[in-house]
Amino acid sequence: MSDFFEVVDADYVVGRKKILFGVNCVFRAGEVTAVLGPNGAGKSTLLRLLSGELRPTSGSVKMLGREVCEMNAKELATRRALMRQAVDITFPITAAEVVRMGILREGVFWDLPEDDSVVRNALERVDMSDFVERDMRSLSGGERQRVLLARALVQVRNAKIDQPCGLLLDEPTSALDLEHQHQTMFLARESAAAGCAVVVVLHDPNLALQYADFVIVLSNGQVCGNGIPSEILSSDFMQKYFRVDTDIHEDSFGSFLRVRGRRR
Amino acid sequence: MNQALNLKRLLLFIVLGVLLIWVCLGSLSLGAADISPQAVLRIVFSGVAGEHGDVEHFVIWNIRLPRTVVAVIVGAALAASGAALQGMFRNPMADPALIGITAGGSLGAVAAMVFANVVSGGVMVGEFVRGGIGLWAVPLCAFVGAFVVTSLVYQLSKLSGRVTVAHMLLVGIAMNALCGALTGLLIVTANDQQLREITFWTLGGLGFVTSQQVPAVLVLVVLPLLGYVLCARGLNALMIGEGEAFSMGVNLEKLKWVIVLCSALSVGAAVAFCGGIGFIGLVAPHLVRLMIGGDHRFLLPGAALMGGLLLCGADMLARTLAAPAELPVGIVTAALGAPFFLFLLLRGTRV
Repeated sequence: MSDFFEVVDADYVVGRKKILFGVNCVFRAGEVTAVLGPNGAGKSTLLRLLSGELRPTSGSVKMLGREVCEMNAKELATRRALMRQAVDITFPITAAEVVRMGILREGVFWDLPEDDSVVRNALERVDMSDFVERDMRSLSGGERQRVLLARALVQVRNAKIDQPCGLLLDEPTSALDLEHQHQTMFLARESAAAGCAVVVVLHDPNLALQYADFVIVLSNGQVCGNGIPSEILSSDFMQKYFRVDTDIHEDSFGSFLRVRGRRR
Repeated sequence: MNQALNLKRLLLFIVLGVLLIWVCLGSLSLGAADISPQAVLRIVFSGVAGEHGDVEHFVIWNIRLPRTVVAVIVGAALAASGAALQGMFRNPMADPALIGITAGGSLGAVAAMVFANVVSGGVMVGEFVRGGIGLWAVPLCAFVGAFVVTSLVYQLSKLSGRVTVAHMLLVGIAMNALCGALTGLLIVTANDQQLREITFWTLGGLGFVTSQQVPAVLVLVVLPLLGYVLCARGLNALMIGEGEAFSMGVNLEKLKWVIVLCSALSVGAAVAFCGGIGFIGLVAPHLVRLMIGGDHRFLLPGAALMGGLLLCGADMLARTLAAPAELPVGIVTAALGAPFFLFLLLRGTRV
């Protein structure tokens, strides 16, 4: 599978502060790549570079061989979707209206009835079919996150193996209960199978071990680990970069990690 | 899926339309000389006709009709600008006054009024505002003021890279203070007659507009309205955040430019012709949002209708409450708008 996103020697500097520097990595369609790292490591910034929202100070970020920041917003929208961390919503808008926006209809003033099934289907996939007409502001943080995930899924619904899309999820599991954390990761896998390059920022290494094909670990704006999760996330690695003591266990499902506590 | 909502929207538009026609008729028939609604309709549809020479004809065509038309479109402009700015700033308190557009417009207008005295050598400002060479001076200066301030706000908030809303609001507050100080400085240098004019103009009123100015008001105010409606889908996407909007292909820079430009045009014109009319830009969009939700494709035209209705109604009250004297319409909108707004807040309604 060819590279969907390719980041070469990318730096992102604000004033004198280097948020990211010397970042090299690739993301392929059909794979789920988890981005891990302590708070403030530059994970969200990396995602925003990939989405084209930010322009790298130096180096390049390419999507299918083209420089992302050279592409216009409309064109990018058909090739990748971004779900940001917790957003605050000030005005009344229903869950269905949010999801419907992902369809990217332009000139049509009236909503098309054939879009209804797309919206309903997407809300069903995130277990939100009972909340179709609910105001987003009355939903809990986790429910809201699931609606926003449904919107992003709708935007990349036409991804195919020969016409891949990027799906960039910034901490999609941060406010979710256990069931829906796993459901979200399952949906990420499904999207990858359909032909998306899925990049998902996570804090739970076990979700990465269980669902991701690759993991990229950022620390202080640099890539400090890049490879297969079970190989990268060793006890020593977790101690060095995440400052926690861990035991690694193996069973028939693969390896998992138990955090004993903060590094002493 | 949203049949009920679409029905609600349709119903709101019909009700607002009917109310608007009703208020316009009322505004045309009430006044120092009461003219029956039937007579009003007959006169309006018989066209401009100076040769008839009857008083009612003259009153309707030269005094009440321009005033009513201006009330409706200025109300619509203020309300739609309020809705668009609230959407752009993702802030329910955003208002043309918030980012300095109104203050910039006022500065320009006051400058025109004060310097008019110097330029025209002692002609009273009232004369200057209402007729002669100076017909366009005040509106032009107000537009320039509004435009300069909005572009400055936009450019200054861009200095740090991309335009963020928080940055823009803070720059707007600073510009508000600066324009306020400069306006104050001008007022200090004004003479008593000018002071009186400026004070009345600041309170807001529709009596300054002459029938020759109506086409200008129409153009300056209706074009931006169309601009806003073109931004509706982008504003909808902005409701769930700038990042998500960008994800969906909204060109944020362009969207912000269009809205800033349109609001400078329409609010600048509104301030110049009618002075400071508050609360329409704040109350009308919220009323419509409460009834039909936040979808900007319907909110923007709905708010425009509501704004036109409110300002026309307020002007009718301003002319009749203390007849034969006339209250500045800005007092009426603030006196009715502020308590209503508090009522909304206290009732616990999310605005």
